[in-house]
Amino acid sequence: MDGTGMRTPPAIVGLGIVSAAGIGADETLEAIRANQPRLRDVPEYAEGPYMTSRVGALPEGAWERLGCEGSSRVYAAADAAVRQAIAQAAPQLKDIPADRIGLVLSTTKAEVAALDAFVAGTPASENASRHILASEVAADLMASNHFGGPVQCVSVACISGLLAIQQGARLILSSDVDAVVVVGVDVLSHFVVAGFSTLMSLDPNGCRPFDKDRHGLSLGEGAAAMVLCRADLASAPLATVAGWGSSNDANHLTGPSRDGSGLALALQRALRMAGWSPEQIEYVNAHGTGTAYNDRMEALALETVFGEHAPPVSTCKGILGHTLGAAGVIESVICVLAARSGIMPGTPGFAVPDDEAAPRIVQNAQCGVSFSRILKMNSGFGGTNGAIVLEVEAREE
Amino acid sequence: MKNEVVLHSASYLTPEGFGNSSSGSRQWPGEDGAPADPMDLAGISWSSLFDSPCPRFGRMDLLSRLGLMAVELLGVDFAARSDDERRETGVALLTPTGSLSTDLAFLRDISPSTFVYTLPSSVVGEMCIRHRLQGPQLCLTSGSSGGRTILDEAAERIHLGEARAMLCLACEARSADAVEALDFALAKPSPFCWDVYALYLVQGAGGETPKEKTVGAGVEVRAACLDLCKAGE
Repeated sequence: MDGTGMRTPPAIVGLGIVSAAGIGADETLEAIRANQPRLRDVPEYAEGPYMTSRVGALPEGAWERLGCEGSSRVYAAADAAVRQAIAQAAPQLKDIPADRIGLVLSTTKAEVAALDAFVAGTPASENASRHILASEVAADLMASNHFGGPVQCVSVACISGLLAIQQGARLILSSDVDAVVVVGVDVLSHFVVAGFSTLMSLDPNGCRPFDKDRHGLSLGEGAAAMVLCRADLASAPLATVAGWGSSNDANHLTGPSRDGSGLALALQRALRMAGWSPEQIEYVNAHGTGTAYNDRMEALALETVFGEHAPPVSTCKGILGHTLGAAGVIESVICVLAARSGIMPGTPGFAVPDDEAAPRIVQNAQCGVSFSRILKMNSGFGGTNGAIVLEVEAREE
Repeated sequence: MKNEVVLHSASYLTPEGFGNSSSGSRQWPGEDGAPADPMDLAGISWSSLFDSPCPRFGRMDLLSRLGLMAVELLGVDFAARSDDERRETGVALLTPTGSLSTDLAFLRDISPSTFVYTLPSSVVGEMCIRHRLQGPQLCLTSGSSGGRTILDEAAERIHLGEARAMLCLACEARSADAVEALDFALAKPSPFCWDVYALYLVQGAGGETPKEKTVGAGVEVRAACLDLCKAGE
């Protein structure tokens, strides 16, 4: 690899997902197809320092289904996603030695609820306390799956998930591993909901990404996992990670650059690595948080990269909320699941385009659509921008 | 063919002192601005080390302050670099305890000005804003595993042509309540190193100082940093 065109892009051979849409691929695809918000009012956030109780929480009863009762929710969600992904990838993992399988975890806050318990002097379970540290979550995931390869924990705000996918691909390309499980996870907590409330960045009625009258984001929670492996070991690849890029706006700690130039850099870097021209991209899954500045910045970045020939764009935030450090993995998993099912995701909450910058938004999910070359992008606090390009393999009939 | 990577300069801050690869090591003077507690770097003021202004310093959390000071100690004049070079300069940070000190502060004050620093990568953003850097981003909250270090990560970005230069840091923000929280989390004394180390890596033979070294695989930031600083004495 010399910065343009990866010779053997790593293959994605297993997927797992847990979110407000449900547990597993089927429930997730059902929500994407229905194109309805899965945000709901959670009583825990009805009183206190919160702007809204409307969040993309896991469906009622989901934590019980995951077997999480009073222990680490971060671990329970991540473990469920990892198990799904490994089950799908099993035929391709069976001959790979354990010490050649690694793990990359992305999370912004790990089990921060246990830190809240520490401050309040209330009890927390032993594993919840340890899982204040992301490295302990990753170590437990490695141990429970008997992997022995390298482990990394990535935390770069809302681009963490995309950087984790990049890191997983790097581990394979550098021959440090033959396969790697990339898992992104973040869960709702007093810390996170109160934090975004202090910034006044939440829309009490639910986010409306790219809509002219958008008023802020909705928070969500969940986990997703993807198993990456060496292309020559992938007998049934679902997709390949063809390129990636990241950048910084170098402009403001919490607000995106006004002109989208920083994000455009990340997109151009990802396309360059893949050796693709912008015209080859068939679908863009945007960050699309629903804040005024983010969505406009993304529209301008897309205009810079694609000019007048913009591909269709949508975002998962209107359905799931913003899952922070998990978002990059969750949304990438959805891209692969949806493309393989012939569904181009829609953008619930979007109705009227912004006057100043309007990408080609897919409002309603479209079924029976064939597309394979996808650009996924996220941006975050600290002025960070990330992008990956995926090439999805057609599903065998 | 891989691009060659050179360690251009190094710096560090520890409770015992500070230093860099161009002027060697110095002990804290023990006067105003030095750490009040020998285990505490929180007491260091920007003006005690540098003449240049840093208007944002006062509003930053400890992790960002320490990271910015370590980068300033490198002595690299980023303002004199071309726009292209800064656009292709990235940051790779290792911080296993991350924003824990600030997380605890936020849980006590629930204020927006604290919340914006409750991400370990905030320091990466502060560095990029101050020096107008737009290259690849990375922040790892786990130590090296499988022999691959954060220095390897930074070097790889240059090797593969993703960046022309990289800042590479190992940085932790120690506070009494963070240590207590870690002891609570791990049910044992926390094993973390609280020193701060920074390296500036560039592509090819920079030829700017006689102390430059090429980068080997599997080297920890601390070892590379101290090695380069020792050579500067």
